[in-house]
Amino acid sequence: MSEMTSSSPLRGLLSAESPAVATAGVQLFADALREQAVTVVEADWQPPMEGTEAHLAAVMADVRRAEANATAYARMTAAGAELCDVKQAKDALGLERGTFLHAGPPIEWERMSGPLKGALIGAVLFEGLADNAEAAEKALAAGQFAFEPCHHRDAVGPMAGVVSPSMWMYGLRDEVHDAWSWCSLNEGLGKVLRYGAYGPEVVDRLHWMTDVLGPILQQSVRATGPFDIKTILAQMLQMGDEGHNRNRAGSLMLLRELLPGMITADAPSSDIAEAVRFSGANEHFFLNLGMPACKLATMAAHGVPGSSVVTTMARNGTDFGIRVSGTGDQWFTGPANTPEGLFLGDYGPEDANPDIGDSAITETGGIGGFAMAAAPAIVKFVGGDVAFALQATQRMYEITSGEHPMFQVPILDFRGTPTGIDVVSVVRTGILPQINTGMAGRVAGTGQVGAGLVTPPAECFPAALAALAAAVPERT
Amino acid sequence: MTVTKIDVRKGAYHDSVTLLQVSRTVAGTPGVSAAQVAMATELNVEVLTSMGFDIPDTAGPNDLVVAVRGDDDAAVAAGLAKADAELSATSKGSAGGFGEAPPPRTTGSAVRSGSTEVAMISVPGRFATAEALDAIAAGASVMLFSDNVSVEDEVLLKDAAAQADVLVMGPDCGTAVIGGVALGFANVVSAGPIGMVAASGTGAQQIMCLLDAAGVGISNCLGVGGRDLKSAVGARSTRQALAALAADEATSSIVVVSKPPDEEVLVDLEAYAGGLGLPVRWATLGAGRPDLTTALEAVLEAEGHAVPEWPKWLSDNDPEAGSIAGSLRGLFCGGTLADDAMLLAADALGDIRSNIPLRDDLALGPGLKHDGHLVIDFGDDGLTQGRAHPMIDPTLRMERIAAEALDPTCGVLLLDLVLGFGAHQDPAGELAEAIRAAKQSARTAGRELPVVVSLTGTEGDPQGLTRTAETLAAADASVFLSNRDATRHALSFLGSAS
Amino acid sequence: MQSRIPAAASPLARDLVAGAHRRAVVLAAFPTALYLGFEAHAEVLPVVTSDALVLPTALRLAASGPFDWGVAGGDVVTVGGGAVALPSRGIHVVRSWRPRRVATGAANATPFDWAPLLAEIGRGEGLTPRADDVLCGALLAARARGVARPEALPVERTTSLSASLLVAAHAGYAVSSVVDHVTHAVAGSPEREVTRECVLAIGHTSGAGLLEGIDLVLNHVNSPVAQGVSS
Repeated sequence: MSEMTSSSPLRGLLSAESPAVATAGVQLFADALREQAVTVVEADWQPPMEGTEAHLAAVMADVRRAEANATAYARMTAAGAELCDVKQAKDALGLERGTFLHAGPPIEWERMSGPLKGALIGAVLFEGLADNAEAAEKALAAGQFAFEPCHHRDAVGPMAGVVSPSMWMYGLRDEVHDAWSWCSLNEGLGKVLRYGAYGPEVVDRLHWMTDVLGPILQQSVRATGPFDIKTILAQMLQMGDEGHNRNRAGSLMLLRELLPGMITADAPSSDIAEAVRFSGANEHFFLNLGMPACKLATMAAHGVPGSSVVTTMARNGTDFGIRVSGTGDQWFTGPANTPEGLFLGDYGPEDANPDIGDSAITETGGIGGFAMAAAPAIVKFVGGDVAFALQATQRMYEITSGEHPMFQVPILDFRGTPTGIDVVSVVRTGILPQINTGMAGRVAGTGQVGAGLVTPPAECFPAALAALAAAVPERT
Repeated sequence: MTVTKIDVRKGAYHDSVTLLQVSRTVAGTPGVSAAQVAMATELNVEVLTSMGFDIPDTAGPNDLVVAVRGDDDAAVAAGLAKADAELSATSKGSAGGFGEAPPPRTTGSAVRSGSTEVAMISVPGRFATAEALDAIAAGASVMLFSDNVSVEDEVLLKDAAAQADVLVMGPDCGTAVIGGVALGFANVVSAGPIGMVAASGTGAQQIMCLLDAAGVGISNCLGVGGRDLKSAVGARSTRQALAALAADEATSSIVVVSKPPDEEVLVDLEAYAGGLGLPVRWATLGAGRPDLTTALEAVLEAEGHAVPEWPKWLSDNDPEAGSIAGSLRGLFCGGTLADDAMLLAADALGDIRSNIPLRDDLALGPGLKHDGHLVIDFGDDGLTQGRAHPMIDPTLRMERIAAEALDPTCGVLLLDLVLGFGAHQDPAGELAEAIRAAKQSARTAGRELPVVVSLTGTEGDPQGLTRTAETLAAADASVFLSNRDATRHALSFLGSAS
Repeated sequence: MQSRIPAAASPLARDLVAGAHRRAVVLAAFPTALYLGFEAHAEVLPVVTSDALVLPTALRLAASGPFDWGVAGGDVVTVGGGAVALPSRGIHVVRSWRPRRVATGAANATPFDWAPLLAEIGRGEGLTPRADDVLCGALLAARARGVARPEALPVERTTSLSASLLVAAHAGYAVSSVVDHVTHAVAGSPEREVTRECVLAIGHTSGAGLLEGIDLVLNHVNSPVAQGVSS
């Protein structure tokens, strides 16, 4: 008698006090239920993206999927991220002279956008591989150098994301999954390489970063590190940052960690002072740590057979590409959208380049645009209003696998951020991931022209879904 | 000098923690030496008395006592003001509004956000499999109203459901009643000991309405979809439903209602039902098997209930039996009612053409026209693509009624009308009008056109059984609760039936 | 806003709602619950929104709160004929729901002294004084374990609402999560840790009080001393 209720069939359907009903479709049925005083949750159902029904049914019926997504989500949220080292790219990534990394999916020179071309010109100049911009451009166009996405080397780069062998990189380690990821040092705002600027002041700054800043940071990290970046991420979300376009609290907390080691570094005091001033003056100082932290999380979630969780979103200024846990290293791309938002100075929409950068790794890892509700002040920078920021985060729960146990949003009653984008949910709802981003000028050498909001091109997701469907094992 | 003030407030409930906190806050007011805010239960009055507060005898356990002692009037007034402020602050609920969450967008998301036991899915058929899989993964049983779902997908869904210990009712499932809640098209019937498993929507409604007329209630009616008793599906949902009803305290016997099942499935199922420990009875249509009414009468007898005389409302102006020369024209919204009528009529009339024929060679062509006896199911998949079910949108059938009235080969019209939740709010007026018009145009053409309505409904239905029947009878239709009786009445007019 | 609101009634309160028209006093109006009191002390009709704690005697509405009842404590409304007539709208019973009930266990001869618990009825602040919660828990656990329960409860000594819940608990009815926990706790199933947490979440102190009462009876019955030495 006593074991009766625990083993009630159909999960106790027939002994429910008053069954509640979810409805999708004809509203009449929901109304008829409400007339019977039944609690109804009506889905605001809309047809999925066109032509996807067969693939959806196949992927959703994949018996591996539920567990695979749970595994991917668990790994993504369990991944650690500690700043353990600072090294030059040639040492950190084995990057060969004449090879350059860039943001986003693979792309050939002819199709590259202005800012990416500009950043590569700057990097060629910085590496001393050409005497002037014209010569650099000619050599690049002539195929004298090799290009590769940062993501192919477990690295990430904001905006153009160009990395050359001499540049210094932060090295973050995930102890849980025994992995490293890397990201270049932030150059500050304005005319900077990552926005495609390559003038003398840009190249000079890169040299100073290589000669002075890099070694000081390396000494600091090696002497007083490692520093737990994941904890800073969790804290900054409770201090009004979202970790992509707003990094103020995170930058201050990072500086607090680095300062003792920087001040005691073996370097002239004037160099130390300049390094500290430079780091403290940059409110996006932390972005280059938050990105590789998210890269570690998404790397951990990658490669689970049957999982429909997105593990990469990245843009090269021409194409937007995604990769999915269950479909290996294949990129699914579409033309990058142009962000909408606010512009600096006299710049306007016509000056903006299409979406660029690996920084959408933050959204892939459950922060950035997905944590917009944590950073209502962001709307002053990217447009929209505070209600929009709250809505944006809440909308993302519809397309994600879970709620991050560490990254919490105070105003949503400390609900975890929506984490682990599910291709299936994106295709079903048509809700595209919300990305907060900076805007680069369309013309090479311009720099940043604004900041705003953007989404991936929708076609990436049905393409990824088709690949997932093709990989579903035959039912036995 | 100290001042004491005791305020007794009638009908002011607050939860215990709130009152504890309020008591503390008030006691902390400058100048207040003692304070207690509590419901005036006997024991709390004792506590208050021991604190030196003299509580009036009129204070009862539903009253709130605010007792404050302080240095002077001002201090006590401040304490009382504090109590008021705290109490009124707690009585405001946390409101939504700004920052409210957007509505769920998928079935699974809706199930999770409301922890619902059931998901009712009525999206277009080609999207239904994904939504149903989603609901199953979220742990809900699924009522799948959508039609045009392939039998392969049906098997896939039912296997996934069994794995998750939930039930898939459907696809193309119109009717279910779970714990008194009607899902889809269902009638208002009283609670009782009969559990139903239904591979048929209108068949289930006919059975529950006949039970209701016999004064017998149902515990639950679990739909399983019209194909569940076909070999391809192998009664997957029916077995789950039978097991659940067998374990249900409120159910003492079970009736299985079905469109014509595949024989081997039925044989296996009968064996399975034999081991459940409670009587399982069958109202499964088919050649050589009893019609729905007769099967239900056997259930009533087996359960020890008297078989009542089924309600009917006869027209005074019906023509004489056997006086009509034309053919039977059955225009149905309910597929099982159509099957039931066809099986009965075939015994008397022989071949009946239909869009859901008893034999393949009796299928109607695309125009659904034929000079002989015919029965059309307007609720069939082929006639509902891109339009609502005829129980919601009767347009197609209304047009056909008018067309039959002008057809000299039409001898008698047999119609069904199903009441209850989900159905048209006031179907009788419109149908009565169509019947009047049909009779009139037949008369103009020199024919007498009897009209018989099989009315499935209960007095408790929003539309009302008697009210509906009387409206139809006023249009000179003869109306029957029993589909069998309606069919027999229609047949009685035809010469061939005598 | 519609003026006619459908509701589902508990069979335990069916007579209160379906019977002749009677006056009821608003005992309290919260955003998610309205408590109506009748002449008899233990007769209380809770009217609750879907997100409220659903007491076994409640009239349930389909929608979630907050709900503007349009009445305040002390107001008088009319109940009967299947409806609760509030000044601005009517709440109409359209069906029944099925409150969960603790199954009666096989008779157990272990005596349990109810006097101390009964003496405490009404002690504690608020809606349901804590001592009453403890007694409710004990009554439910005693029923599940087949332990003899007191024939009558001196419910006139506590609030009307608490009195009505004591009467329900005496008959084995309680909030769903409490019934679940009693069932699991009696069976010793591993789910009892989860259901315990669910009970603890009830109200502010009610859950803790209920658990105290449940544990009191179960520990008493399970203790070897209480069961005596078998011969």
